[in-house]
Amino acid sequence: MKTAPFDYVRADSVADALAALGSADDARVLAGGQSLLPVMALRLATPELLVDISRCPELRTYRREDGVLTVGAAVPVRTLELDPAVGGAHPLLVRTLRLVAHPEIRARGTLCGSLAHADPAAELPALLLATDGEVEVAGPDGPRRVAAADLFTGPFGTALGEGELVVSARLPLPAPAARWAVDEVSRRPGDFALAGVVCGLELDGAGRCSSARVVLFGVAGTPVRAAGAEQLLLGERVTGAVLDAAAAAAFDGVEVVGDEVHASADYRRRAGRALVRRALAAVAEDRS
Amino acid sequence: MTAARYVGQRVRRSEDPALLAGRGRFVDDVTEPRQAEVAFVRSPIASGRILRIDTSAAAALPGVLAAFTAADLAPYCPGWRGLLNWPGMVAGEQTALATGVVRHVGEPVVLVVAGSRAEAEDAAELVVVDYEELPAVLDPVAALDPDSPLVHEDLGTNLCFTSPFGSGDVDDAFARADTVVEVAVQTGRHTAVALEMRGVLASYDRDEHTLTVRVSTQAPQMLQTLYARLLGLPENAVRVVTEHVGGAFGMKAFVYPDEVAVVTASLLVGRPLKWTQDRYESLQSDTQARDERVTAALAVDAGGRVLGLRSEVVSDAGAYSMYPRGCVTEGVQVATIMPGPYRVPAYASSLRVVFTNKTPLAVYRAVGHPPAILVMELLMDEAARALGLTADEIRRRNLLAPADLPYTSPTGNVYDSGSHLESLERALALLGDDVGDRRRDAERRGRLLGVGFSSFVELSAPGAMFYGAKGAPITAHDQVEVTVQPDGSVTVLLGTPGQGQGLHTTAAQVVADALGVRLDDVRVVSGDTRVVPHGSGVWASRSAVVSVGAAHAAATEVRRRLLVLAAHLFEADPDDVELVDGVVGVRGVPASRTGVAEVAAVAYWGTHRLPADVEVGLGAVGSYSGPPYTFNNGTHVAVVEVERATGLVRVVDYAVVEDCGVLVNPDIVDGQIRGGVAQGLGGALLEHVVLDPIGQPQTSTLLDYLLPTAVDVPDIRIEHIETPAPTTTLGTKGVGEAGTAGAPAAIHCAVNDALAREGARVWRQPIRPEDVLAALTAER
Repeated sequence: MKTAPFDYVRADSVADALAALGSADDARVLAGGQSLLPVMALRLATPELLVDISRCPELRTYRREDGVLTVGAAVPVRTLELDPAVGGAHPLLVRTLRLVAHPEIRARGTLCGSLAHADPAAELPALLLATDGEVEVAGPDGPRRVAAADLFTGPFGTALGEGELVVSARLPLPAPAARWAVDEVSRRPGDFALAGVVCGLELDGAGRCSSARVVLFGVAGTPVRAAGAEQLLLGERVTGAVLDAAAAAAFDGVEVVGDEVHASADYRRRAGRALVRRALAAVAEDRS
Repeated sequence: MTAARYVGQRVRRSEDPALLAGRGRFVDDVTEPRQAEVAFVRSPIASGRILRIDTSAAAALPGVLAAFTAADLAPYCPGWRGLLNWPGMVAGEQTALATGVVRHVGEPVVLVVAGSRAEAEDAAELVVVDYEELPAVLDPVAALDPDSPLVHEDLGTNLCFTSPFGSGDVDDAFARADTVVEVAVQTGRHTAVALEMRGVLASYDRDEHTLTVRVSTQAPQMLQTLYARLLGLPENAVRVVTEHVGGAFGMKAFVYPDEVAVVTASLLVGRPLKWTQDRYESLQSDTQARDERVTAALAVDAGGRVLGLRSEVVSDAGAYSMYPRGCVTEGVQVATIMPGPYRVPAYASSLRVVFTNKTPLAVYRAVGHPPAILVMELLMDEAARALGLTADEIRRRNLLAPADLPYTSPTGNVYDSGSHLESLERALALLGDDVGDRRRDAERRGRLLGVGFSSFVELSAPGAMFYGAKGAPITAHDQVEVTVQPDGSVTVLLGTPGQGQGLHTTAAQVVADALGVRLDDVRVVSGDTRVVPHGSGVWASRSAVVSVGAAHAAATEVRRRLLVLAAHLFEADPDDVELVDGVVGVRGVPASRTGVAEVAAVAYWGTHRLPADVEVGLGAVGSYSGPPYTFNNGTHVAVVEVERATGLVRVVDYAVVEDCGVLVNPDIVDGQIRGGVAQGLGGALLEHVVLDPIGQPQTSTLLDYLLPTAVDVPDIRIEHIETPAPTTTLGTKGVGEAGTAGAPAAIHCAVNDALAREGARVWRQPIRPEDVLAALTAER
């Protein structure tokens, strides 16, 4: 289990990194390495060049500004998890992070790395989609922003172009009126989800749902919005019957993918509906 | 012998400091000068003919020293068959590298040698092997169809072994029964997943004509013999060294083709060769286990008393019968252990062991016990439900009571002692009487709570008949050499290696007590066949009986000689000399007291003071074989919560009552039990080698082959009953596998107890959330 030969460049700046990425046909960005290095060890990935951004000073910072938490591409998620200021501003992020693998892995793995890796069973892409986040991208054609809804194109696939690099993730902080929950079912704590949900509700003064967001992960090729559930919630009082209906509709139009090792599509759908029901109830009760 | 001062105490393990600090010496920690490294090209298909192998591009890569195929190694190392003289057993030939045919994914085909492992892997990628893919035999039942493709063409059958077991009039028992319950159970294919993967460092000295093999194995002397035989070397030219071993569990008790290939190649290359297995290789080439399909029926009378038992066992042996233990032991134990600790007047079992195109199945911690115990305990629970009895009551009515002992099981196993009934009552007490409250609390949280019992006996420390009589070079005895050095310190050379189970500590406790010295004065050495006396290795929970017996014998003899020597110096009768805590003296004469060191010094440097009839030196080799076996017994109780919404099972409480006779070191026993329960939990809920419909492994990383982690295993409460074995030196019985033996049944019975409240059950392990959810929905 040794990697195929590759070249390695340690970038000191984003400019360095972009130059290096442009210098090889098959260059990959190395941040925490928690996903990339195992697949390289199995020779399932054989990049010609690794561009290590983990020590770029400009990527090692995170800040809260104008209702947005911006997290640099070299920030390990454990740093965010342990920062009380982050926990205060974005409790959903911290709750989500605690579902990601184990502390050792979180100590190296990065938020942006997880987004760029785009594992369909991962929690953080779902969080980004659920909260209307986006990523800032640097590349040969200059910087741009890609919204979560446009970023994830398939299993391990993103809208990033040749030579582009995610430099930060922008996570809008939850509105004070919103209540959020994240939940997943996995064989062991820390495993990738067999089914997962990030959901949020805002209720108006009359107790009716003014905003609903339900995002599923671990069930399809990308994190996916449960539009059927969202529509049934909007404008309604969140009674048990409404939550039942929303959960039942959560997988309408979702192309669920199963496998023979961990769980079938049928299981993911059934357990997923139960999770949606439970997560929505948690959100609704939180409000009351 | 003096009073036990250390035996029975929770003495801290001498093994731990080095291991906990990361200073263990495993095979991969050792580097020889001029060492080169090996990588293998392995079969990517489950079944096929090798049409052509082209190693030229690989051999041309810089840094590559050699690329060997079966044809290159065959002149130096013949093939072998894992054949034991079970009546009618057949086994196909196995060679160091696949010869003409590949029979499972992961079978080694080409061995590449290069300066580094990375270079060797680069070269391995350039090896071209053309295969004619053949239909794979994957279902052991379909494999018995006359039209099935054959795993080994020359055998003419896929049936490796078949045999009936049991005694008594079973037909009559079932005819008389008030109630008959039946189950069809399948256990998952496991593998050991040792923390230290297999590895070899082989060096051939061309001047001394000696071969030294550092290898991660359980049985160094066995490998010494077999390497010598395969390579045509005298045994005194083969040295096998095994220092720390990071887990083995039966999986490292074999001659592996890849290891033999490395050893053979080291002779041809003329440089020390190292191969360290990686996890991908481990999950495809380490022996597997537990893949058993069992149908069984239990006949009981109106009072729930067992009248008879029937079982049919199909054991999926995989592609080869691994040498020398073979692939039959697991199936035989499933069939013969099944009656367990119960009075079973009549039993009939049939066993079929079948070859398939899978990684070979062999022995694994608690060999055969987990499926056997699982089936019997599931039957007990089904009978209890049919009769309206509780799970504990039906067991109470059938478990062996003290008056029943000694008891001969219907398969001929003799239980000479034990606490079968008492262990159940103690387990019930440990469980407590608040199960109803716990059920209601779980229900409020959307969970079904279940309680499961597992009462069992476990065959441990088997004797000479077990393998030796079957023709395998596996001894039942151990030798231990104990020497008091001139300064009074004590050296213990163990024939069987201590590999982390705590044998160095245990042996030191026994020797210190038997000899009458302080524990700190005893140093234990093992694992180098050039240094230690003979031994059989670490398997079948034998060390606490056999190694301990040998250590005791050696220490007792040394003590006798030391007392003779001291008596001469004191001019006293040896019977009047005493030795306590390293101090020798004439009983009742305090002024005579002197240290062991002073006496020992005379044995070496003061021999001019001794008459001719006093032996010089203070060392002795003790040998011990033990009885045919010891049976430990116990009862486990598991409490699980099944989440209705997701089918997830969590083990929330676990208690063990274990009786392994006299405890040498309760901490070590507790550790064995805890680790064993964790391993059994893995089998019940998580671990499974999954193959796709053409035999491709789907679980070749630890992302997919799921092991229990610390968060999956609850705190385990342990109580001991000490019913001494009447047949062993110190009254000990083996215990190393008991946790693994009992846990899968207790957990499975608990899950079914929870599901039964909804009219549901599950019958396969691992119990996946998917199966639980399907069962809950299907039967509602």
